Amino acid sequence: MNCHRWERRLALHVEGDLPPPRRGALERHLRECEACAALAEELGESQDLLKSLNADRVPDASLARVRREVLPRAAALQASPDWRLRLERAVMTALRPRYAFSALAVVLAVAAALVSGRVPGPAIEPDRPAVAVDAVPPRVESANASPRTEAPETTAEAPVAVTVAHSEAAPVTVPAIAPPPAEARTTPVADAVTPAAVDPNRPSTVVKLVTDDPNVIIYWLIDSDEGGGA
Amino acid sequence: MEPRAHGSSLDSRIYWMSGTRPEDRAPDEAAMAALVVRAAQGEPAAFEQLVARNERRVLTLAWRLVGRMDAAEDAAQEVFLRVFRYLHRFDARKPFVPWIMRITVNVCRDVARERRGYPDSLEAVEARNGDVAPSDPRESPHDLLARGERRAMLRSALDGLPRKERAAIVLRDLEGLSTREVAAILGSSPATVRSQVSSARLKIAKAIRRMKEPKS
Ligand SMILES: [Zn+2]
Repeated sequence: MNCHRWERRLALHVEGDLPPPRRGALERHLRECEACAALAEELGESQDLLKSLNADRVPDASLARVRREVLPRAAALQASPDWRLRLERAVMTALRPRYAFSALAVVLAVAAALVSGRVPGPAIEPDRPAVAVDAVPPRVESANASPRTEAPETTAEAPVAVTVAHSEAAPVTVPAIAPPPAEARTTPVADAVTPAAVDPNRPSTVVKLVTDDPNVIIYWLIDSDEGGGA
Repeated sequence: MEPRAHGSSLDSRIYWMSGTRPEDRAPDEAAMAALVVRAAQGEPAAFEQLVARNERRVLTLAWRLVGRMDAAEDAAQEVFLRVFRYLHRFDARKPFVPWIMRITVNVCRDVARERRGYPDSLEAVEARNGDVAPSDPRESPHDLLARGERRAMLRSALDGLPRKERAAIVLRDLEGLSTREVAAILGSSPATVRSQVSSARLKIAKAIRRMKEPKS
């Protein structure tokens, strides 16, 4: 008998993961089919073996090394966060978390709509603050993918007080931050249309904040990978 | 046959995705949320405690996902630095553990990409087995050897899995999370997770069968 179609279900059944409607038929089949009963037993044993890895504990020395590296680096970050982070923190602190998260959700939804509909981004009105959204495609999977690089730290004054909209004075006038990331400029639109459903890793999003000063454009990189709570 | 009870567990799993009011949550989660708030306000001692409370969980998960302890240490460092950077993004009404596990999965995905193309040598696999503290110091040398072989076999079986299947089976079968919890961490659906998990379990079983067969 060809029992190939039962294999996947068996692999779920051994751990109680098979949805109830399918259980009955599988259990009937198991009573009739020796091959599947044997596979079920084998899967049970291999699962036990797999879970025996749970007995392994990471060495204390490794934990100590992690802590020794992390704490000083966090302290250094604390002393001089990069401009993107300062901007983001300012926005998130200025808005109450509830609204900040809603705002983020709206921005992401608009980004998704723009990307899937291939609608060109809204025109920037210099007289009113506008929020334009571009989507950056998921990082290309390649062996030589370089690690994330931080933006160079700007010589820091006090945390930038940024009002996202309706600001009279442009809060940031550092020209170095104006150019968008290279990947956003050079990637053809077609690449950005990768459906989110195929890759569960959501694309990064670039939020463009336009202030009253037409010369000042703030790019806000939202890396949705990291923001499990965002 | 009856489905077996799930053996492993994660201390906080029963609490996460539960009530959103802090007072509804387990004391551990509530304490963790308080630490996040204090750390986000720039209190170094709070961040230090956050690291202390989560380092074993993060390093263990990273190790299971990337397979090498040195790479896992690098990944765990990056996880905590990302946590530190994005503390202000954390929604304190939600449980912290799934958030940090999700970050861990994402960091490990990047680590795996960087390291792809550099398969481990057999020596490295064996050296790695020496990484781990024995779980029971009273084990006889014979048991220790058997355990080492078994572990090497399992680890190479895990190493052979596609990345997403590996993440799914590690979270479901080793971390002991529910299918729904795994889906939430991986940003996918329960149906996708079930498909990945079943495929991974069959591959592990097959790999074990192959390794048990006498070599001809
Ligand atoms: Zn059958």
